[in-house]
Amino acid sequence: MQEQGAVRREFSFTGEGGEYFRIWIVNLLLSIITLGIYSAWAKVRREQYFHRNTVLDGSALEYHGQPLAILKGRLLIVGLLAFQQIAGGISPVVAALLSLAFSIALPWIICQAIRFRAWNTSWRGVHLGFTGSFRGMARVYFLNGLLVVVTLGLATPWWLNRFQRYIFSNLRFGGEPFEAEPPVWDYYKPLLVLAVVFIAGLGLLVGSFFASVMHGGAGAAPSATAMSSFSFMLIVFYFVLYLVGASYVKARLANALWNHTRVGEHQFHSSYSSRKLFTLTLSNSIAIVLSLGLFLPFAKVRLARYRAQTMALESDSDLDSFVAQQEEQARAVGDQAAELLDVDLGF
Amino acid sequence: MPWAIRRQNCSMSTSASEPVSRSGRYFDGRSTRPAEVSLRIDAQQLQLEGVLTQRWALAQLSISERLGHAQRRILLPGGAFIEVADDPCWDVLPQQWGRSGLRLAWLESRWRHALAALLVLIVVCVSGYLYALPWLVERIALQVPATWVSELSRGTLDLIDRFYTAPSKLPAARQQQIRAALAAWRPAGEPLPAYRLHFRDGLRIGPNAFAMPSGDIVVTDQLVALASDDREVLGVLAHEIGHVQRRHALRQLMQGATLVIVINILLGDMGDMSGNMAALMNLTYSRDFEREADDYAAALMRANHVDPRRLADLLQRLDPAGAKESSALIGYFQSHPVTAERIQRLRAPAQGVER
Repeated sequence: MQEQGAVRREFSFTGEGGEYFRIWIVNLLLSIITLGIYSAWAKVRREQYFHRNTVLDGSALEYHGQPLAILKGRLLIVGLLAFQQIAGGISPVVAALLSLAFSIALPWIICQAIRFRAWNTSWRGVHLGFTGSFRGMARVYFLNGLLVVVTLGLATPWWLNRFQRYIFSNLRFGGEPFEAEPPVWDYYKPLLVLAVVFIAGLGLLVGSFFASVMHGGAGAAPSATAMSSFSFMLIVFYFVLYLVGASYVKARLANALWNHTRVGEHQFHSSYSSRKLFTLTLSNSIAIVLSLGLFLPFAKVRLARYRAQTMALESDSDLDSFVAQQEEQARAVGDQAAELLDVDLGF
Repeated sequence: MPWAIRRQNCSMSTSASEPVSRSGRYFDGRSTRPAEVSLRIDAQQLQLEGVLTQRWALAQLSISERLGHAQRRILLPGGAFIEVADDPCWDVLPQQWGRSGLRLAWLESRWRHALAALLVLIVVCVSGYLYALPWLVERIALQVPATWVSELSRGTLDLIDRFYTAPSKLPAARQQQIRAALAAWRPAGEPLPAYRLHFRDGLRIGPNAFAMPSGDIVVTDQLVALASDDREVLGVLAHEIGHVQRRHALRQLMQGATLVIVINILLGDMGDMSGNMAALMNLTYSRDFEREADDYAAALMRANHVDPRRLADLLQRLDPAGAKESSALIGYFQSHPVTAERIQRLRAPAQGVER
């Protein structure tokens, strides 16, 4: 046994698809018949379900979001969205100005969202916290973003690396700060592999197409059937690569990040497998479509279970010495904006 | 009692005097250090034994909501709490969300409730989409001041002129003839809205006519040429005036925005599919608007002793292929109802209106 060596504590997920389905459908119904008002309570209930079923060392996470705070943020966002829809319908100039204003405010929104979400998550009574500032976030987001533009996108993995580093290095659990130092190379590698597969596959397809045309006789125009089967193959190739590539990149990036993230002396471990994530995502998508969306809650539970199963915390000591800190209450607005606009916060 | 909470397996409810024992983990709310404790609970109070021995009246405590079979927390005064497994006995404690938390847990606990919720959800969504939303939006849209509505299309006519049309080649006298004929029409019921008629060479868009919320109505030379009788042109103009009168552009915008918001709430975690779905669902509304404008045109034509079949004749000539075919599936994806259906509708009413 591990007497004086490091102890690895696995996360686990105790939720069940059928159980969450019943919560989900009640949430939907109450949200609709209250004209959306209940959706704030529904969100709290959903978040609580996933937090309270994520267990580490016998204790579950807890979600502390307040429905009324969320409702206020949500009303603001709905107002903005309605204004944007109507103003955009009246004048394209106003629509353009609005989206410009929004992209400038994005780092602030992300900052607020992370602060809100971190502060509302606790384990054994100690809350997470976020010490990042709007200024720091804007610098990481825009100044580094400038390099992405200058390099025509080649710096994107580097930018993502800096961005996630900034977020995760500014997290705290109680008084204990996180340290995140994912290597940049780990962000480039999966994207390079994807690019190589893409170019090789495309070359193979185009090559075999020309070979078949040459076989039909030099100088002859390619037949319509050859053209259509070629374009069909191309579409299939893109689609498969997109599906596989998305899971592959997601798995690799998450592993790269968490495997280089510590909180105090405790090292996180993430062992996402690209293949498992791919089969999970694919079967989820097919089942959601075939069930007209009713499989959605089951899919979410399957993903959450797999995420928890692949996460662990490794340390020499026990997990008893974290201590809470006083913290200011975050505003709910940012979280709502981020949710409606589907910003992936990497949690 | 519909909201009765069943307390199976909690012996306490049967004999109130006898306490039940449970175990839990105590946290002081400041550090993550756990302490195993045992709990004794009866109808009045909770007794804790372990790292500390203390008792509280139940009214001083609260417990996090039941949520499936997830762990729960009994919150003690002063920020400490006890992690416990879910148990029917905890229903005697004050719940964080009060009685409604227990009701929610009851709703979520049975498959037949989920099935009932699903059925009600389908009925509410379908009737809301088909009836309630259009009805509500119509009431609101007709209250909006006309000057606001005309703002909707400011600059649109210039845009159309720049990209799609050229100045009309119709002789001024011919234009005046049509203008005068329309001006002579008397309204059927409420007065006609303010409109301005513009003639344009349609170029690639061919025979066509369209109305803007401001009351600007564009009719192409090609449409005038296609008509075998001016009464057919007047029928088309009546249809366009119908769009203006009934504020179709504004209603479309409001209904579309509502759809986007509702779908976002419904499918919050499905991301960018919602925009496409809203656009698809909005098509049904634009078909309803075409139908409404056709009905308006028919009434206006009849009031001026013109047979609505004149409009049907022109539609037939505009789209000879569409006048024959009719398929419910294709109909769903079109912004205009299939031409055959519109022609049938216009030809149905009483005949002999023309003198």
